[in-house]
Amino acid sequence: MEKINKYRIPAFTLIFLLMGGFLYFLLIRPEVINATQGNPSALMRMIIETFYPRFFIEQNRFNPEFFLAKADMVLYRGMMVCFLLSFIPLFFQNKVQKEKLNNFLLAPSSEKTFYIVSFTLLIMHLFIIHELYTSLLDRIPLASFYKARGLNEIISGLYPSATTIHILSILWSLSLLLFFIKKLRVASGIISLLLFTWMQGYYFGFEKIDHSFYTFFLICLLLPFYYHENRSTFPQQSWALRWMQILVAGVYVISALEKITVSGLQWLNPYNLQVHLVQHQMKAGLWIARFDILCSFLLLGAFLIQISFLVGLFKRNWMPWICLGGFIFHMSTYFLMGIGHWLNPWFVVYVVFLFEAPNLKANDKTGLLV
Amino acid sequence: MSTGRKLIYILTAAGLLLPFVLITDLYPFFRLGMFAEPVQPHQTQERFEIYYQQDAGFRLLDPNELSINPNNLHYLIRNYYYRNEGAVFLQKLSDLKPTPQTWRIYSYKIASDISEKDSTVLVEWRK
Repeated sequence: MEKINKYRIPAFTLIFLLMGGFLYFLLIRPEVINATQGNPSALMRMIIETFYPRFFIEQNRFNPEFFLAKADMVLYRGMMVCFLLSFIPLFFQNKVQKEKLNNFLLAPSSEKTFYIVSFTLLIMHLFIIHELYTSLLDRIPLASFYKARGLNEIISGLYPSATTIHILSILWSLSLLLFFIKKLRVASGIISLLLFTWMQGYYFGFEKIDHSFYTFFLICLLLPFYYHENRSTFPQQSWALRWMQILVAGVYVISALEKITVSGLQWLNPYNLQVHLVQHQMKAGLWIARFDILCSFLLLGAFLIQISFLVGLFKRNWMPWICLGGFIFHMSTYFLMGIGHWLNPWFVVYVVFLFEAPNLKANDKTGLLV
Repeated sequence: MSTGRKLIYILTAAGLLLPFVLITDLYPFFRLGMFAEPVQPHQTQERFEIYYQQDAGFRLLDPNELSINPNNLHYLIRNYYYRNEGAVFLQKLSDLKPTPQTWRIYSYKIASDISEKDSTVLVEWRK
């Protein structure tokens, strides 16, 4: 009876999700079929325009089954995530579990950790400001094709002039300078974050998304809190640093889940990599593309590295090796396909894993801080 | 654990999970589906080209003459074309080079090592 009581939230969630799934197949799926055949209802059109505007581009390239499978996938993924999240309340049912969770959500930290992490991220910030600054100036001739999104849509629908781009970049750099001279650290973190979001909005306003800065951006979301946490004293355990680690690891794990849920084991077929290698026409990539076994090995390696970030969250002492794997993975995409940069923000953010305070390491067996 | 901290956990976790569940970008949070789709056998790659009228014939547009990055331009043509807005695209492009009266979009389909230009014009736009 006690066990039933303990698992009542996951059990009710499961029943609720199964009912939701039944309703989807009864009411929503027929609407999706109509939309894929070119007859969406007004409501479905609004949903598509809001959440999946690329449908109107992709419907010319893919068959209706592709979109139906995608709609089903949204249901399955939603059910899976909701079901997993329903187990979180279990951690609040007794003191021991609660303490375990609290420990999991803290990273060992020190003054040295704070300065190494902050300054590495600041250097990367300067590199990203330069990248965005030159890219935004490059796009000025295409201004009439610009489509504002997010925050930028509220501020102005127009692409910025060269003067505005200069001013925004200078403001962004100045906010970093404030950090260096130890003035208004939290405010500088917030200003940097806002300017980062604002300039990214311009950068992604030409119908193309790239993920070059994504993990770095997620870390920047936490930077003001990290600065706040270390404002006057340097705590031995940091929640902001730990949440940065969890977000970065989460990005890798979700990337791996995307591959396995979209393509299944077919993703490991060497042909998948060979086509990309041939398309990118890099010398080393073309050489590797000749060997099926090598291509399968690289695909499997990439998948295992991505998923191992989840393991690293629990086995903290393994993380340096997992980061080394991540570094090799990103350098491989650079040398084999020409994707990214030798100074890739994706591996620079590993600094949040690598400089945890050495005197406060986690216990290997329990994962708790000792 | 403070309410503010709980809120940060919930918002950032939602930013990470929602694009995964909904299979879409929710700016500034993105779906992480790079190279996730399997490549179809004999899949063709498409390239688009812009031509503009000059004297008696048509001349290939070099994006560099308009100080445009070729990759950015290619992505835009593709999206406008598949949305059946090719004429809108050409009209906007013509603002950058006002002299030519007629503009066209052609496409290449590249399969394996053989590239072949479509003999038909995909879109034509006249001033």
